[in-house]
Amino acid sequence: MESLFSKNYFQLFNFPAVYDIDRSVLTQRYRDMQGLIHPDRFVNATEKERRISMQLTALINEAYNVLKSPLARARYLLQLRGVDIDDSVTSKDIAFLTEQIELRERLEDARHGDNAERALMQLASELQKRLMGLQLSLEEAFMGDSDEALVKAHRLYDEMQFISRLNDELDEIEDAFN
Amino acid sequence: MVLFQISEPGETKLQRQHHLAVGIDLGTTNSLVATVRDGDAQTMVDAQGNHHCPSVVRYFADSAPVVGQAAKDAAYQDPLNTIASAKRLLGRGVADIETTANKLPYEFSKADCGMPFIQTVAGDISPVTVSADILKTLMRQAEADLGGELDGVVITVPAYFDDAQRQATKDAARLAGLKVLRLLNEPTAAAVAYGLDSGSEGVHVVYDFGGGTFDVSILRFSRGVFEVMATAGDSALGGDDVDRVLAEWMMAEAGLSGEIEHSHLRRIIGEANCAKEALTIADSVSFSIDNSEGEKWQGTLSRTDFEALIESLIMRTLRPCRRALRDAGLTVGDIQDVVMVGGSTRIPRVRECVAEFFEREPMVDIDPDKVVAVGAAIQADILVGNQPGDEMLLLDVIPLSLGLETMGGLIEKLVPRNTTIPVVRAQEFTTFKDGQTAMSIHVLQGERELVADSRSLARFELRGIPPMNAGAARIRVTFQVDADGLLSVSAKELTSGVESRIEIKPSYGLSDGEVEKMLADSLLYAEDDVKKRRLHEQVVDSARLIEGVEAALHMDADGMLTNKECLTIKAALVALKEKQQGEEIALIKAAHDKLERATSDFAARRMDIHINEALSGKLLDQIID
Repeated sequence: MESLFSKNYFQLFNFPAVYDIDRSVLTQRYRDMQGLIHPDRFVNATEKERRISMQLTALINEAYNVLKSPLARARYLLQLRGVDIDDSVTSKDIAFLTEQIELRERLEDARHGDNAERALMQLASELQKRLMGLQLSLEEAFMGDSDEALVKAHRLYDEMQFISRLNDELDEIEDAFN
Repeated sequence: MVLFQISEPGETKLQRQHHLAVGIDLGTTNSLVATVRDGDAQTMVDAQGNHHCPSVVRYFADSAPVVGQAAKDAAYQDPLNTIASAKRLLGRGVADIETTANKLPYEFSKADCGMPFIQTVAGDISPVTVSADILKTLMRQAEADLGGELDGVVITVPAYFDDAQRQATKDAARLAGLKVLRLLNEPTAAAVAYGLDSGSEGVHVVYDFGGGTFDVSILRFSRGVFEVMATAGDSALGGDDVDRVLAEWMMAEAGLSGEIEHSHLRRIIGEANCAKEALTIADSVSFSIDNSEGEKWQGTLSRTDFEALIESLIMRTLRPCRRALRDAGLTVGDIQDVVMVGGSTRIPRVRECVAEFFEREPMVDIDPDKVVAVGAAIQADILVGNQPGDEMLLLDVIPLSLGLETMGGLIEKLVPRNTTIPVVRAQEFTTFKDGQTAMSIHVLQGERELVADSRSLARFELRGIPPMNAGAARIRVTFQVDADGLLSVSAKELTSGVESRIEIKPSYGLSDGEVEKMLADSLLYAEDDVKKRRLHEQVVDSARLIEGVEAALHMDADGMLTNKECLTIKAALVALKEKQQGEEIALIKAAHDKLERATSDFAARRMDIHINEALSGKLLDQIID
């Protein structure tokens, strides 16, 4: 039997390696697995068993975090399909670069404007919509197995990553307001 | 070895033994101990019938310390040797507590380990020792009540405690001679007490405003699993601050300013505390304190004025509530109920503000002072193995982000706050100078971007990196946080394999050696025979191991072990059983370790096979559903 430690995250949760996975099934399987392997189940076990339980639980936690996040899942799936993701390389897509600059400017404007809180909230809800749309596009792109489909998925991932980061920054700014 | 002891009737004669376990709420102001009796979790009482033990210890020059009410009563007459609120100092550095310490009526001395020691007639006492003395008292009380020595305890800590504070709590337990099954977050414990009581599925908020700390946690309870979704708080905000604000107001009213004596300050704080408690029912209260001329000064305080005085403190609790909601990705509408924990939630204005914020009346069914201990007792009962079958499970999170210092005094976060534990995360770094052979690793905790604003947990060095060009070395730093929320860090240079590993012993904690020394020192004062206690601990530990190995052999020896392996294990088993009859701790320990080593591979094989089987079984069930 194959060791759990050598499985990929999709295999661990018994999913096919696709982007579109059922969140509620994922959560249920995660809980079932935790019920079996969590260190609380091994408090009185031997040192060795406690260590394995700890490592395995950490692995399951990590796998769950990756699979449940639309962004991390896309990245993981790209890597599984052999795409080398280098975050230091910036996109050469002019339209996307222009949009990045525009969105940044909007963030700065919103932040320093008269009605900052409201403007930031509006931007946040727009970004949310964008992220939802990107998720659907990624589902579609990952369904294909051509090189073009993979390139497209990679581009969508880059976009999603930018929007997510911007979204995180927004959260931090809102934090400062509180 | 509790792995899959799903014994069918008649299959095994191994009896499930009832183990003695308690939950301890080690509070800033009061501590409690609780246990599960006949399926019912209850707080235990001392000889005088009290549920609470004030977290106060009075030290003497030539006799054992006194803990609890008697110590609290002596606080005015002997303020310097009577230590209260030691929890606020746990895992803190001298610099950390300077602001707090100015307001605490003790004399501090600086110790080598960076921890503040309190000067008393019994010598310099660390906050860890104070906590250990409280734990010892509760332990004796529980053992007298249960009629035997404890097999394990669950100790609660504020969810917002950082690594140093958790480590210090565990050190205190070790000093007290307790086997800690788990450190459990207080709000999680409260949720357990409520969740199992009402059995309600959904999202719960626990608002825990205690004597010295504030915590808010958001948990989802679903099909027996408690999942902490987010936690936030302030580990230096509590009822003590309410008392202090009130005391300062009283002093201003009475025209007292500047330096005043410790015992005088203590009395005023005591008066403030009484006024606060009276105002939970009364609309106004009169009080009297000594003014600077030593004359009685009379004043009155209305509830409205009181509420105005503490409004900003209450507001400080709502900020973390907002942040926790956001971290959990929820809005107020998603919340099913709000549970109130901690003495400070008795203040009517606090309840009003919480009700307003969460748009629903908070639950106060279980005594807010007892609920944490009750939840801890339930968890202790489960962990010690008293509840067979599909028991409840807790999935907790790390409250504060963990990271490393990088160039320019910035922090690279490896584990963000609210990550479910246990967790293992690794990140690769490289050298920035040609020929660099060492790398200093600085571990930090906190949410800020800059090292200067964060809490330093530890520094260590990875040495022996072979000289290479800048950027050629690949140093992988691994953070591991266990189920108690405790961190260990290791670093490895990947091209050469040079490795360095440390258990995080925080800048403000005790080293293993120091704990050992304190244990030895405590022999001088010990009423109970420490050696006897240690022997008992070893025998209990080994009995567990024997029980586990026998069950494992019974289930899996056929098919998983070769004859030779089986014989080796059985020989080690017999050897340990023999040594168990004697009284030599070292010999039992050696035989114990030998059996552990002999069963190590077997244990790993069983884990893997059984979990694989169980998982495929579970998944199959779902497909059939």
